[in-house]
Amino acid sequence: MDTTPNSKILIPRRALLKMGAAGTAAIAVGKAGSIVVPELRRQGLLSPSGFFDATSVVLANSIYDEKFPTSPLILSPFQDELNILKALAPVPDSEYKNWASPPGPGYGQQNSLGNDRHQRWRGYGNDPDPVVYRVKVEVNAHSFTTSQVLPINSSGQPTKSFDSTRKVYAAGTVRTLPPSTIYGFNGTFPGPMINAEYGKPALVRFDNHLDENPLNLDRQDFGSPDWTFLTHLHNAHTASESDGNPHYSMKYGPQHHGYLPQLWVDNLYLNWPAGNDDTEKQTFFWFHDHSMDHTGSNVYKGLVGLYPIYDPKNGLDMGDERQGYRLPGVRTDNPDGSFDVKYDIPLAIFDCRLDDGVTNHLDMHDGMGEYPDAGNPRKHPEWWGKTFYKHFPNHGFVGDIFTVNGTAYPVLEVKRRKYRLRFLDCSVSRIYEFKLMSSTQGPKSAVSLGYTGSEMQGQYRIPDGQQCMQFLQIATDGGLIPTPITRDSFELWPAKRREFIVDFTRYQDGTPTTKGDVIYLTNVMKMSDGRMWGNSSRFSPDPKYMVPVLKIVIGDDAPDDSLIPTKLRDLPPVPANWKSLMDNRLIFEVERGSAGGEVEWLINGRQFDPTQVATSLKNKAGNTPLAQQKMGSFNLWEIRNGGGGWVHPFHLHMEEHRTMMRNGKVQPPAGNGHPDDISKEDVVALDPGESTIVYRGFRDFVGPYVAHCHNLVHEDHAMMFGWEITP
Amino acid sequence: MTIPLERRLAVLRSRLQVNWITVAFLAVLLAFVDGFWLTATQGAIGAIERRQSPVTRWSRDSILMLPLFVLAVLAGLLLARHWFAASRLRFVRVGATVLLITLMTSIVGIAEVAASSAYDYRLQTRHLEAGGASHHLSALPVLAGTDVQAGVQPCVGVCAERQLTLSAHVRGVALASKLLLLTNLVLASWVLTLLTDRVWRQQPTSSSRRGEPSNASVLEAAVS
Repeated sequence: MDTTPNSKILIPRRALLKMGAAGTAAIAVGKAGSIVVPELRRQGLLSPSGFFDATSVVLANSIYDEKFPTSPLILSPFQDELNILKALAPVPDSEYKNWASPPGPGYGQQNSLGNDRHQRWRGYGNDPDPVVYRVKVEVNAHSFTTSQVLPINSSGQPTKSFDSTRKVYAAGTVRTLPPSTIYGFNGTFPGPMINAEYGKPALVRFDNHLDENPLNLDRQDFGSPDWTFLTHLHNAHTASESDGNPHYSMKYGPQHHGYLPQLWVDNLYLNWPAGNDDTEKQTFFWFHDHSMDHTGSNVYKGLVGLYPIYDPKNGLDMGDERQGYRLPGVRTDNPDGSFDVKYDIPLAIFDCRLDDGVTNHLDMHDGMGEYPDAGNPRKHPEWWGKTFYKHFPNHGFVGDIFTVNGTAYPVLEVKRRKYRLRFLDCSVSRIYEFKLMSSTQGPKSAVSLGYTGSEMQGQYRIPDGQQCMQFLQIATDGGLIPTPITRDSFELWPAKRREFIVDFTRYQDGTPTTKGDVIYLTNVMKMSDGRMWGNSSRFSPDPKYMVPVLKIVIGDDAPDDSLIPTKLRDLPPVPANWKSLMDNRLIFEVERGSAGGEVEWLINGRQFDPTQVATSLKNKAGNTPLAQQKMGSFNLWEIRNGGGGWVHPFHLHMEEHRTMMRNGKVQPPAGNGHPDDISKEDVVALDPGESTIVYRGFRDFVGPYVAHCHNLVHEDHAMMFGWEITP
Repeated sequence: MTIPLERRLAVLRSRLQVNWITVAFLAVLLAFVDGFWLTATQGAIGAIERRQSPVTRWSRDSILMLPLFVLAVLAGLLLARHWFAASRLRFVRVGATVLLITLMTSIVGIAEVAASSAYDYRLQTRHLEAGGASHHLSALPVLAGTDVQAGVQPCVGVCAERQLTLSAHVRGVALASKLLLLTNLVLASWVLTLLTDRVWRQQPTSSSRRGEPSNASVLEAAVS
């Protein structure tokens, strides 16, 4: 062997090959780990099981190939005024008392089938007879924008478009959108707003006219195929016959998914707090369709209405900023019996997707023969520019156009003063995170910034957006919170409500605003499909994702008698020994099933069966109790996310709950824990893999109720269970 | 004329002159990797009853399938020796060995995924039939009339759901098959690159004892 210093060191070729193979493997594993581990952590899947779940998710994405249209680009956003809803007028006594079947407490008076009655006609004490409203469920047309549009494809390139006769328009042709066909409460989207008050019951007669189509509109291929409706006032303290839930409707009343055309039902909203406890009072409900298996399609088709509820007791929260909590609002009592509150604005956020005429319509529901007139699977150029829906998308359903109160990218001129903004997410699956931002350059289309595909969702961005104001949170789903909380941003999950005071007189740095200043309500949560967010402030924020949803223009000064509150409503007490209920709690795990579409989503391994009361998983006491609670009782329920990289907004009908534990940790009061756990809620926001233990009561009424995921695609595909309150 | 048992065993032993540690390593590796794809595919399209505790199921299924993978690796090695030992090109010998092991183990893996999917489909169709009564799987729409030709039963409701479920399984098995083939190919290549000198043990045959190289030792030398 040559051992001189100048001799070459010879490495056998085989050894070199081995070293290369080992090195490549090590680098590949290291590199893959650096990419995969953070992503798994983000999705809550960083565990041995999670690794399998994540792989299954990727495989499922490949197996269930789905294509969605790209909506035409709205060329002049932020020109249409925000639709500020006016309160619906009640029906005069003289009128409804002359109806052929006037409302009443007797048997047979609750619906047109004559087979039901109201459990209670009055709340506690000497409540007056209900104020009566009439809401017709109707087919109508709705335009999301008056702007012209440029048809584009998923690459952002101009593309051809069509009209109702299938005539083809060349790429680059600027078009006006045709109105979309909606099913609407009183034919509008959003439907009417009922301004309600505690202590003044309201009875709403919902009257199905969906069989009438005076405008001869094309009903397309979504919306309940037999034109049923079932209205749920989310989440009022309501008797089961007026709750509008399929566990009830399949057994009693219509004994069907909902009420068929020409039928009516009187939903009686007693407008009283659970247990007659003032701390249980809420502030903002909404009513929406809840037909079994078609809630998503009916809500997406427009069956949404608003129901702010005020508390006149001691003038605390009656829409008059000179009294009580001094929350922003100037009340006007109208001669028709309704009242409106200025500077108190509900904002219903909704995303939609418009047909491009070249995307194939193929849906599980077509296979079921529900829309034979559509002739699917096929493309529908004649529906170009109208709302597109897919009942059973593997990834959930999100739109690429964001709307507020039924208008895409509207503008709101505000006075220089404080406002009360009531936010509602009435989208099918999308979660939002909002900030108030300013921008010197203003909105730019995502296409012009070079984005393509799902990055174009929301259509516009403010690339130089800067947060300029904060929100002062005053209420959640469950009503006013004990102490207002200042927030830079907030998440809005499907069906959730959040209320804020925004002071439009100054920016967060103290600089006064001036007339003409522009602020954008901006969504910073990227969510390219219905599974969960891709980016948000809580998880890997994307500083470039700033999608303006509402343009707010500062106007003139206006008197302002409202005050920033320091103390609002106390929470209802929770017994100190609540943990004694832990061992025998009810446990429900939401998870993805695997059979075909209609029973895709499961709870405790079972699909929704409207004839049954669900059974808990085995608890620590070794029991599997039925989801049956005695009237007047309280209990702990555990809601678990079974994983799979999905988030679930899980809604429990009837009383609001308090989150006592999240992921095994007792939730601290006053905002130190999860942002949702500060107060009462009716939707549990379940991040991937999370579990929550909630404390809830079952008071005042008996009968069947439901709990379900409010990702409406999940709800419609069996992620729901029946439970009941027994005498 | 019957061949004595001892002679037959001797022939078999000479044919099975392989490095069993390498065979075992390859079999365990490929069984667990293919088991991973099986479990992940079940997670994507499998029946809910079989989707709990994926790690436990993966371990159990992989261990149960291990004997078949040992046989598959062995078959690949022996076929390679039988067909390509005489080849002078090292690339051909190693490449053929990799491909044959990949092929044999993938056949086992794909069969495993297909059998599992078939079982899942059976469970799911039962589930669908049970669910059809309460959801609207069994009924045609009330108002939207369908022109059903006399004697022709349209595939709607549970039938349509079954078809879609089956179609998902077919796509799932096809996808899993591609992934199995690819990963088995990469892993077999990687292992044979690292352990190439241990693929076949030197055969202590009479010819080698006399100093004459056997077929296997020729290949061993060549591979080395």
